[in-house]
Amino acid sequence: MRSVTSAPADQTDLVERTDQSLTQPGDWVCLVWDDPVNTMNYVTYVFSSHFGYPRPRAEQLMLRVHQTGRAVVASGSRERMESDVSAMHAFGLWATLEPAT
Amino acid sequence: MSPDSDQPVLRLFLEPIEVDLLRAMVAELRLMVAGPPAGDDPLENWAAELTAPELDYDDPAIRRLFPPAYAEAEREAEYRHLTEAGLRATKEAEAALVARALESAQDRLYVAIPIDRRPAWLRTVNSLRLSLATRLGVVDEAAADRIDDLDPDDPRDALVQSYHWLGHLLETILDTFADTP
Repeated sequence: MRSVTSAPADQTDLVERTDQSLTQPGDWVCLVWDDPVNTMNYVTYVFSSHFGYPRPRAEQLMLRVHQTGRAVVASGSRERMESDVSAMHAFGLWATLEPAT
Repeated sequence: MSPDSDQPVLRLFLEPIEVDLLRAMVAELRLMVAGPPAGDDPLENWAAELTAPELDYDDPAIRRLFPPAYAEAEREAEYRHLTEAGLRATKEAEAALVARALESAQDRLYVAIPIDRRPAWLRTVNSLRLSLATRLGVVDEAAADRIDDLDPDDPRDALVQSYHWLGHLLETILDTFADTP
């Protein structure tokens, strides 16, 4: 259920650049943070259920969260990201929003 | 509320002791997120809603179930003002749905979960896990590993067993109808 592997820290920069290439100026991002309790299976379910991401994309995001400590899972207006963050909190995920940089 | 007979139903086979455990944990969760349970009198309930106790943010489990959205204090206060009541109501309504299903489990050997109630079950069971994990001090991977190696005489052993059982329950519900949202 729980896996304890972690990726080398030097992968973070690459992942961040990949995330940022998806955002527009003025956008906000919804970040999901790794935690030791939510299972990989559950987090994948949340991403596919709430965002409608296909299973492979949901799994990829879940792994990014797990291996790098956090991942951008959505971007858009501040209002939309607030609503996504609130939905993540309803699922019990640890999520925050911030301006895209 | 009778489930739509056309939709698939997951039958969850639980031992009576497991039903009791789950009921107790769900009751505790409801108390934590919503305060004292609502009665039958609508006027009293309305009054109770107006005076609902504030969430106890000194409780680490509450901080885990209602985490901050913003690093910046002013924005966070505004976010909380806009979303907290709704989030509490959702968690309470979903836990109440699970509690009702468990009540009906008393006379049979299984709990029936119609597929449209699967998200409420998943989120409630997950809330129970999160809440138990904070009580056990599972704040990082190292702490998560430590509770796996507890001495059987450790007073926390019963909580750890419940925590693992909830994980198993969550995976069981996730793996059934895994292709549905």
